[in-house]
Amino acid sequence: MVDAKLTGMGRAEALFEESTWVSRCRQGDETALGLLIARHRARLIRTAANLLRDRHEAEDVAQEAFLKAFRELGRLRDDRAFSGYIYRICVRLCMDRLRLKRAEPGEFDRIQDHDGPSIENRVVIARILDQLPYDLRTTLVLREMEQLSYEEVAEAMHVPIGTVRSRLHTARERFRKLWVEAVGE
Amino acid sequence: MTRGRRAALGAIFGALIVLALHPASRHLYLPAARAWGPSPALSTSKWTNAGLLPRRVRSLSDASAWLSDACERLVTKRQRSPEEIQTFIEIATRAAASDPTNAFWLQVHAVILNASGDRDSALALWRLAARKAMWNDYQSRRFETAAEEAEKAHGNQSWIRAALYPRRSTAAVRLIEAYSRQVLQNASLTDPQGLKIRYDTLANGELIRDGSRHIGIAELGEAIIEAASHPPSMVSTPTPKGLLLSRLEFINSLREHGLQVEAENANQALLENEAWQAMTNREDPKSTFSNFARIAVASSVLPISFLVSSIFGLCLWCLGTFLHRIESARQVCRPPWSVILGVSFATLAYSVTGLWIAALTTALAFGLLAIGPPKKRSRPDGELGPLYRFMLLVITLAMITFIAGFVVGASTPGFYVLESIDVPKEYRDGSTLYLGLVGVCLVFSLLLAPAWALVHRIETSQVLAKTFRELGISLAVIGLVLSVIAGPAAVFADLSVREPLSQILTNESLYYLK
Amino acid sequence: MKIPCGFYAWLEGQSHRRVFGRLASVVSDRHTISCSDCSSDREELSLALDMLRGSSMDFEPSPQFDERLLRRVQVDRVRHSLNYWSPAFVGAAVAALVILTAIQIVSGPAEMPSIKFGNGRAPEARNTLSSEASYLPTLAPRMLDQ
Repeated sequence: MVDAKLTGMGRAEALFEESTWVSRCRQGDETALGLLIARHRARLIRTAANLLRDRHEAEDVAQEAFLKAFRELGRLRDDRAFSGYIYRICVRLCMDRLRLKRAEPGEFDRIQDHDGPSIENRVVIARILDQLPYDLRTTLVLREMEQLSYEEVAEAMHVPIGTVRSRLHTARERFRKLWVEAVGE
Repeated sequence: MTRGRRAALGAIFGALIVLALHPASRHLYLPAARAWGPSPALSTSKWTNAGLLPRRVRSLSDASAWLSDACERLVTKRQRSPEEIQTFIEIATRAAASDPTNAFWLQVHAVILNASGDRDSALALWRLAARKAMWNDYQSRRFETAAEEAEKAHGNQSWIRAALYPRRSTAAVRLIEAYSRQVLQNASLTDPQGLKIRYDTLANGELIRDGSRHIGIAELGEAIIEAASHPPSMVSTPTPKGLLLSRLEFINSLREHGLQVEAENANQALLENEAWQAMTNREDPKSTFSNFARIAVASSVLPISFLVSSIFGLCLWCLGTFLHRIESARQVCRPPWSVILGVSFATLAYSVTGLWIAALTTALAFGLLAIGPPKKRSRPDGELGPLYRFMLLVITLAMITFIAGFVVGASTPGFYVLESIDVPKEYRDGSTLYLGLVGVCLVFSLLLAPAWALVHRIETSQVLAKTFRELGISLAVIGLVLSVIAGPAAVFADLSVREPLSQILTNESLYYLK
Repeated sequence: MKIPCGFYAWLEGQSHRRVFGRLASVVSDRHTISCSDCSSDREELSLALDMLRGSSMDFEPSPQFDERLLRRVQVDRVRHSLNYWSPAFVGAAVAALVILTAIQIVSGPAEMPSIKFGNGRAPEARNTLSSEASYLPTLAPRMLDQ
């Protein structure tokens, strides 16, 4: 899951480079640590923001993911798998947060400082996503916004691929209904 | 590293820190690591009785040191210059004036005068000495001072007393005893003058025996007392019956010549001599001292020797890790490096041990490193089996023993004490024998590499690196554990022998009387 | 033949499976042509998902992100190493206590400073040692240093 777009180089070359950084990072190399952060932070923050709909919380989760990944670097058997490893950590941290704040109402005011699509649309989307259970929400966001394949979603969420398919179908249907309700208001 | 191992490692270091800081045990660690070979605190000359003789005679102890040295010189029968003789006489005279109740100064003075040919003056002094109240050669006093000085440098350890014990000189009393025989040769048992000289000799012997602080000196005193009753014709060792008869004859002779008081005193002295002889014949002072001295040396050196084993193990582990990490370093297992190293280390082994077999074994061990499996496993599992671990354990224990042996021999306590307890030279003073044996253990570990490499189909250099690492870790861990265990045990052992050794050093007779 | 709407919904759920993929898509497409309700549902879903995709939050992380993270990593490393070695500290404390107790027991209780009573010296010697205080005259060193 290396984001080759970020580096502009071939997948194999990026993997090799990353495995070198991971290896150096294990020995306490601060420069390699910085390089790994620079390569993955944008993607992690974007995914976390899409899942949580809060940029500050997203940055917080991304930092948590980096910390956890660096702390448990020793458990990583293949240095080339770092990209998927840290992404999985980030997704799970987001899911944990979503699970905990299910009952809380969405804080839409937080997204007002964001430039991009119209604020109204984003508020609507955030409200709709808030009404979805966390597992459906995560599946939908990873598939539709993050454009991950079914296998990648299954891997990130640590569930079988069949579960991803059924969750995605349910999530789409619920999302459509909620969207119709929201747009109809 | 597992949680348990981290806890164990912490425990070892925690225990070592306490042992290195506690006043009762700290001298066993850091100061002991610096105590190698001779110590300035115990004089530069290993067997000089008084250490460095004082340049100025300021006290009776100084006088005693010089007179002991003078007697040692006289025993060697070397011709002394008149100036030297005069100096010794002057020391004895001034010491006798300062210490008028002590017979020792007059006896030594008599011996020196006799050696210089003035027999009449010598006999007069000899008879005068018999009237004194006590006998003290001040050696115990000197040893106490020397022990206090050495304790300032090495801490309060029992081996210091064990190191000082063999320095007690018996030369003065041996000369006195020889002089007493000379006196007795000319003293008849039938005329009053001869009997008085014999009685005075007996009194001198009694003073020496009662004032002695050493079994050897007491035995010489006993011999003088016994000889006083022997007729001049009795040259060989008497039978018990002959001894008894000569005693009775001597006492009767004294009575017959009106020397009633002297007869009673002589009878009492001879009876007491029986008791003294019973005690000194029963005990084996050398063996008793050897036992205490062994414990004293072991307790002072073993903790640091195990620590040295541990440090050696860490070095070995570093070497193994270097071979494991650096691919090019593993070339040492292949020709020509294995040959070059083999020849170099074989030469070193021969120069250290002087044994061809050691050199040959070393060369073969390096040569065998070139042997490896024809086909290697692509993924070795890294586990070489229980026999391999057993072999490593055996080599580890052997290495710890030999390193400890080397350290004990090379340490200051070993340097001063081992010779006096008849430890052969090969095992002491930084013995190369022990170093050679440590080398043999390392050679054994080299032999493990090709053997297990062939069986497990792993590259020999990799097995060698693993062997060095595991051997190093075993040595380090077992060494540390033993050092921690040895710490309190050494404190206990040292304390338990300190008092007996102190008594043996300052008053051996009293120790055996208890 | 027009398939029921329920079956269409099921097929939509299976449309991503390889086995049914193409066939399901063809059948579904045909159904939506003939069924206005399902067609409208499909259109609504498409619009909703487009809106969802369009609301993706792409932004630059805050400038202090790296600095803050590196600081947290350093703090975390220290905390982690402390946690990692905590059993060692506990072991060290326990062992230190045990050794301290052992040495105290072995070396005996602290004693008051005592005057040396000769340590086995003969009574005669004890009486006469006091005379040692009187110094002997210094002798010429060149005669003694042989």
